[in-house]
Amino acid sequence: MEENKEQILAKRLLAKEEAAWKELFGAYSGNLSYVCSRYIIEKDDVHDVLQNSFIKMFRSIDSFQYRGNGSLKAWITRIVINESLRHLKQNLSLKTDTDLDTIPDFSNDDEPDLESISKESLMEMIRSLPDGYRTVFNLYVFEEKSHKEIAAILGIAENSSASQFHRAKAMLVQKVNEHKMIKKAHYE
Amino acid sequence: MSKDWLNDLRGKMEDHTEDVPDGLWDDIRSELFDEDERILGAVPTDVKGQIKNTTPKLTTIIYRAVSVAAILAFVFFGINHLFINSNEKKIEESDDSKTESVIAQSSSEEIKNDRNSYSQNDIFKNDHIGRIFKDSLVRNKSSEIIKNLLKGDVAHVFNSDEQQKSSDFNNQNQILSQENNAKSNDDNLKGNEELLAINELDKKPDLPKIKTNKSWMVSVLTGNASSGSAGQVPGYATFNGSNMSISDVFHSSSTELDPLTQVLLANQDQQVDAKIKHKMPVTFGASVYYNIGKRWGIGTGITYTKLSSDLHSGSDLNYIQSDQTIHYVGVPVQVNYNVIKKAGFTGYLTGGTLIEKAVSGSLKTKYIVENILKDETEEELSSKPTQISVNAAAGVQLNITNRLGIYAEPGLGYHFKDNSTLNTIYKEKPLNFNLKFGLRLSLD
Repeated sequence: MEENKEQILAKRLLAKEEAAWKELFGAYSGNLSYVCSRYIIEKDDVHDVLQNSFIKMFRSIDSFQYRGNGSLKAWITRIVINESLRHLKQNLSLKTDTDLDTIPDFSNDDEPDLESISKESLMEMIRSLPDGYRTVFNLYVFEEKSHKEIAAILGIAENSSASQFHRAKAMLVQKVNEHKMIKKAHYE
Repeated sequence: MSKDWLNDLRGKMEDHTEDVPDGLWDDIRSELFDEDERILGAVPTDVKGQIKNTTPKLTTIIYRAVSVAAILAFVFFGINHLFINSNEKKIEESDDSKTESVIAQSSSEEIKNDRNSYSQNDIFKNDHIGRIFKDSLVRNKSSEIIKNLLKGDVAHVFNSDEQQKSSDFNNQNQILSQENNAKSNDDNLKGNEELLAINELDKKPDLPKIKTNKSWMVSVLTGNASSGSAGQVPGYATFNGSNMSISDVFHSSSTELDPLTQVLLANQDQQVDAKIKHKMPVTFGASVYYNIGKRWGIGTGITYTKLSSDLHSGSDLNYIQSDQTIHYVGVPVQVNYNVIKKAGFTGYLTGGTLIEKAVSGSLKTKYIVENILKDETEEELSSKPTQISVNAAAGVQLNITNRLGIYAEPGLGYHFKDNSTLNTIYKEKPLNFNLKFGLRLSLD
């Protein structure tokens, strides 16, 4: 049976070959930096979390099981997310977003068109969400977790996860719309 | 519904990349592939969010080695020092062995020392006693810890911290010492004080959870100043430092049975000296630190300090022995600056001030003629001075687990004059070297 590139890399990683780890880093660090900075805002903290993540990968590579193409990436991404959440839990309270009521409630559930917005701008908008909202939003949208799972991960109530998600979504829609208006105004 | 645009969002962002933090690979490489590190088997087992490694690993190893050596040196120094102290005490006491209370004291101390050298197998023989004392176990244990600390058995203190097993052993020792009333009262007092500190510690983690950058820390500290100090003046002396005045002698010689007179008479034709010996201060405390940013931190807390001094006036056979004990409760305010922060290791500078208030003090005086205890008096000290001191220290902390670290902090302290007549080691040596070591627990 022919082994694909990812599988070969995984084997070399298991042998703790320095070149293999460098290769892994080269291939995925950009994407992992993106994943991590979705959760973590401070640059230094992103650095620390990623460093810890790689150390964790290094130490637990023997528990990695190859399950088809992309499973290595999924595995390392999961580690980065876990480390990011661990960092967040250590450093701030996800329960006490007190400004819950100060955000205007949006009844219009219109779907914003993301086509014209750059990834960088979207990233900026996501990162500007309050910590608690952002974390829930990330887990729900990007990690495709249910509110039940999110509640368990973050140690919050299920309805708190749902309400934080809705607020986050509303804020993001607002930001997208504002962005478009600014852009429009710019062109006119 | 609006799920579609979120799916779009996910799809769109899937392969997005961000700039990789500067120097990340170098740090990871040095963490994982530094040969020296791997030989030492020191691939970090303790990964923490805020620890940052930016310099090569070799320096970390040096830091660690230095800090381990430093802590060992301090502990050794402490043991050695305390040991010398307790030896001195024993010799003195065996000289006094004609007085009953002293006999009891030194013999219980000897028994205790013997016990300490027994193997732990002996410990379990006393099961039923252990059970009887179960409810007071915590207190017994803590008072035992203090006692051992005072006696110099630092190693044992660590032992009993680590192993609940030894609590039976502690009970046993406690019983021994309870046979000696005067002593155990004193110890129980100490025990209660330590218990207070421990309670405080226990309570703190239950406080509303503070989730601010892992920056609150609670620590227990114990420390001692550089050394006891001994002074000698010819003739007789009192604790306020002056030589005994004629009026003292005159008044006290009004009755024939007065012990002081007896001492004076017995020593008529002998050279007499007054020796003041200040024992080293013993400090315990609990403190809370708040980190401001990664490097700076401020801290406060509560400390308890016991100062004791001996005054020996007279000749070898006929003398007046005074023991002065003062208990202080203090509030420190410290500023910390973390110089180096590595996985599991922190080097820091600290400076601050400590305000201490004497809460109680006592003066026990024994009159001994021909080595026989003639009279014993005890008085409360009425003067309760407030002592202000400033200190600066450099400390190292090694983290044992994520939250618990052991630290050693050698430094200098300067005690300002307290305008009281009390003669303490602070007055004798305002500037002294001190060493604090203990456990520091950080709270999430």
